[in-house]
Amino acid sequence: MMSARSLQDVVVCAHHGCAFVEAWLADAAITDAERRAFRAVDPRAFRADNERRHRAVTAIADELPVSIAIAGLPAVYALFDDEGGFGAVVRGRTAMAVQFAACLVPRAGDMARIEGAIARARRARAPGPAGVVRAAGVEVVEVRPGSLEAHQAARAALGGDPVTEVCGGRRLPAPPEAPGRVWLLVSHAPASTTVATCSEALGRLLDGCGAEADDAFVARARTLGCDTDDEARELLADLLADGLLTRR
Amino acid sequence: MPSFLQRVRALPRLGVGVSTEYGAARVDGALDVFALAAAHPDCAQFMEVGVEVDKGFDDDARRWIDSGRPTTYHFLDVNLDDELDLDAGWLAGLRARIGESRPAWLCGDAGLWHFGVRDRAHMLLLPPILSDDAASAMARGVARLREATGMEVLPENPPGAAFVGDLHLLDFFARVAERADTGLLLDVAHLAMYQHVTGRSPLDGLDAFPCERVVEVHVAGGLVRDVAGFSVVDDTHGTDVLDATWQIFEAVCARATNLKAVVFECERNRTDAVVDGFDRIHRIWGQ
Repeated sequence: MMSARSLQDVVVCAHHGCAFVEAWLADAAITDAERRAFRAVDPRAFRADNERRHRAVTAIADELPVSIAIAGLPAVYALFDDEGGFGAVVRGRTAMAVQFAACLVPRAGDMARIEGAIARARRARAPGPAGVVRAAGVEVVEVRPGSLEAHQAARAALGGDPVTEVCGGRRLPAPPEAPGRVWLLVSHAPASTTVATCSEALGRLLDGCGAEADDAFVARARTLGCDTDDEARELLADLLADGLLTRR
Repeated sequence: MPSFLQRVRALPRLGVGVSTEYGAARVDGALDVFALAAAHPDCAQFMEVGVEVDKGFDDDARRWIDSGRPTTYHFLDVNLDDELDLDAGWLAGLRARIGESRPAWLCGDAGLWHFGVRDRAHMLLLPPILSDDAASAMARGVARLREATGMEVLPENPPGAAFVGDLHLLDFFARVAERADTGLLLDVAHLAMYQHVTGRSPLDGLDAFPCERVVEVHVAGGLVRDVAGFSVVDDTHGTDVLDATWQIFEAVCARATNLKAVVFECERNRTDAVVDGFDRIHRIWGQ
């Protein structure tokens, strides 16, 4: 008797030529029978379609064009060999654009943070525990001053077909990093996505909203500047009414 | 609920049809299904519409639907063996698409349409793990989708080059069909691919396969290709149908007592190039 889920994850990664396939195959979740079944397949069969990585990167390039242009395609392709990259997408059920953006932060910095926040805002939230959470389509991200403008400039530099540009190897330099931090509020609606600066207090308040009870929200709002519980509750009501927060 | 062999009597006999998916008809050299239907009505008696719930129908599919002609709904976006994939949002969207297109039934490759969560960057199509528990999980998904939509759901054997598991592909789908008490869509071109890459003869395993559950068959062209000395078959949907595919089609037609529909998947070819294939399908199926 075989349990298919873990083996299916290995098979997906084998089709993408991931370097960690053997490590995953050794995992305790895989039975001996499953290992035998996997090894019974000619390894060349997994390489019959060698364009899978390229197609996957092309599919996320329109969401992460600036990050990819700064990090470079080799760094992006290397994420298929990273358990924290493609491996986390497969096992962790995260969106590839979101996960890859997070992985590209060390190379592309705030550009990857911004594009990652937009990618998160575009996607439905996974179900979770009850409480106050950011509304669907709402994300916040902390970056250095000038990063939003730098992203807009880089995006413009890639022209009207950024996917072709970055998948063709177009590179961009990383923008200079200014001192200090600012918060950006990302709002996604079906017709458009907007990114604008917001106050640090609002950024931190929204960032910390992970299915918390009203009282927990109030307590946190007090630490971020509300003078009284009533003021914090009023703020909660306003944010719910404005569609930045919702109750799950 | 009546058994499948009772329910199948209520399904319409659709005849021979064509398939399409979003935007396929607008590609250079693509089949003009309306021209085909006008010139050769017996080649386009219904349209199998390949659908992702998020994308919906393109203009050509809508035109066909609006004309009141028969359709089947071929899903392109659900992993039937993953209970998390049959989420409320997707099901609501699916019901809306069903309401728009009024298909005779639902069908689609019972494999891995995407890895991880459903996301446009995660699209692929891989066969299921050919194991007993995967067959059970698949059967649960089929039954749940049938229950959620009120429509028959016909799982299809997917294409592939790498088939992992201890069951024969046909044994796997026989178990799915029995446990879900459902009909099947047998893609004979995909089956020929499986037999080829696993070194089996075209009809291997067919004797024990419940052909009476086959409601729909797909026929399509394929291309044998070498990968570093390993021979695979690409699912080209061209007009060059492999001999093995025709051999399987003939054997299945002789046994599939509840066969209602045959699709010649040739959407990437011009009308004059596909007529011979349709003629051969008619001759074999006895239409």
